[in-house]
Amino acid sequence: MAILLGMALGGMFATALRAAAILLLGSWLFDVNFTITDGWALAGVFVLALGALYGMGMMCASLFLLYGREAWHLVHAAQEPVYLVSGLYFPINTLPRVVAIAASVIPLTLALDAIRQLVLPSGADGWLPVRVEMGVLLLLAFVFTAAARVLLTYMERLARREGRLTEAHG
Amino acid sequence: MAESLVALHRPSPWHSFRAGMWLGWQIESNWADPWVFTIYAVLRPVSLAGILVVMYAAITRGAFDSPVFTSMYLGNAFYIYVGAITSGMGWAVVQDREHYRTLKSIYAAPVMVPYYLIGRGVAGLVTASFSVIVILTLGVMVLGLGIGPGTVEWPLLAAGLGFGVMALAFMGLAVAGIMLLTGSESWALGDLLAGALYLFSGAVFPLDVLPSALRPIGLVLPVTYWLEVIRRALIPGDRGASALAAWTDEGVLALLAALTAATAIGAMTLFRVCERRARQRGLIDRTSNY
Repeated sequence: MAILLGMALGGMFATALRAAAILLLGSWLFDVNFTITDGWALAGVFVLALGALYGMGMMCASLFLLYGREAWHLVHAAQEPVYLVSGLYFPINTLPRVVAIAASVIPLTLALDAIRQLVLPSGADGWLPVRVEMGVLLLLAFVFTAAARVLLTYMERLARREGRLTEAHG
Repeated sequence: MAESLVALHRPSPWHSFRAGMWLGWQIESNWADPWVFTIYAVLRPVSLAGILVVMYAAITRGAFDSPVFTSMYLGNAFYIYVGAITSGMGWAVVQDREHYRTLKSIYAAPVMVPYYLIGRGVAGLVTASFSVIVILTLGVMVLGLGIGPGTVEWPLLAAGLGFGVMALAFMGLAVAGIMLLTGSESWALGDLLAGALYLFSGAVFPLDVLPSALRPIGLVLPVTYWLEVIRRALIPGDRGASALAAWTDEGVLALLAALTAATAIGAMTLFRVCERRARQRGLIDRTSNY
C-alpha cells in the first residue's frame, strides 16, 4: 500500500506536468480562451480528482495480484467505455440522467464537469453545482483509498496462499 | 545432406511472417476464455463508435443524415487499423525484448526479423477487423448509414485495404526499428504516431479544415489516401475530402500505391540502419526492468 501510494504521488506529479503541457500547447495552437472564475476551487477539484482516481487505480491494482494479464486487458477494455460515459469528449448532460448518475462513480465524470464550469463559465452546462461535485470527489477519494487498503490486504493474502505473487502471466 | 539441412533452415520472408503472425495472435487472444474475449472485442468498438456519435450529436443537434457524419464515422472506424498495426509492431519489440526476453533468441533463430515483426503487427489485424465490422454494422443498422453489399465497390475496397495494410505495416516497421534503439521508455511511440496521423490524415474531418501550413503533411501520408479510397469504395460518389475531390478513384489508388511503395523502401532502410546500430551497441537483449 505504501509503495503504491508513493508511486501514485509520483504519477500525480508526472500527470499534472503532462496535463499542463497539453493545456498550454493546445490553447496556444488552437487559440482556446479560458476564464478561470475560482482558481482555488479549480486547484481543489484537480487535487481531489487525482486523489480519487489514484485511489480507484490502487483498488484495481489488487486485481492484478490475482489475474495478471487478464486484468490488464480488462482494464484496457474499460478505457473506451469510461471515456464514453464520463463525458470526456462531451458534457455529461448529453447522456441520459440514469447514465450520468451511474457514471458519477467514476471520479473523472464529476471532475471534468466541475473543471468545465470553472474555466468555461459561459459555455459549460454544468450537471451539479461545483461544491457538490467537490464533496462527492472527496468522498470517493476516501472510499476508494479505504477500499484499496482492504482489497490489497485480502488479495495479497489470497495470492500468497495460492502462490500467485511471482506467477508470470505470459 | 548438409545442403538440404541448410535449405530447410534458411529463413524465408513467408515463414518468418507466418511465425510472427501466429505468435502475435496467440498473445492477443489466449489471455481469456472465448466469452470474455468476445465481450472485450465488442465493448471497445461499440464505445468508440458511441463516443463519436454522442459527440457529433451534441455539436450538430443530431444531423446524422449529413454526408460529413458518414465520412467521419467511416474514418473513425477504419482508423482502428492504424493503432492496431503501427503501435502493435513497436510494442512487439518491447514485449519480446523486455517482457518475454526472447528477442535475442529470435535474432539467433533462422527468422527474418522485419517479416517476423510485420507478422506480429498483422496479427492485430484480426481483432481490429472484428472491431471495424462491429462499428460498421452498428452504423448501418442503428444510424442508417447508406452502405450495402450491392453498392460497395468491392475491387476498390480490396485494393485500398491491401495497400493500406501494407503501408501501415511498413510504418509499424519503422517504429519498431526506432524502438530497437530507444528501449522501453519510448513504448508510446506507436501511439504517438497514430495520434499524429489521426490529426493530419483527415480521419474525422476533411483536410481543408486543417490550417494551410499543416495541410501538406496530410497530403504526403499514405493513410490520407487510404481513408479516401475506403470512403469512395463504401459510399460510391463520396468526395468528402475536397482537397482530393478532383482526383479520380484510380488516381487516388495509384497515389496510395506509390506512397505505400515509398513507405516500404523508407521503412526497410530505416529498420536496417537502426538494427545495425542496435547490434553494434548491444541493444538487442538490453532490458530496463520497465
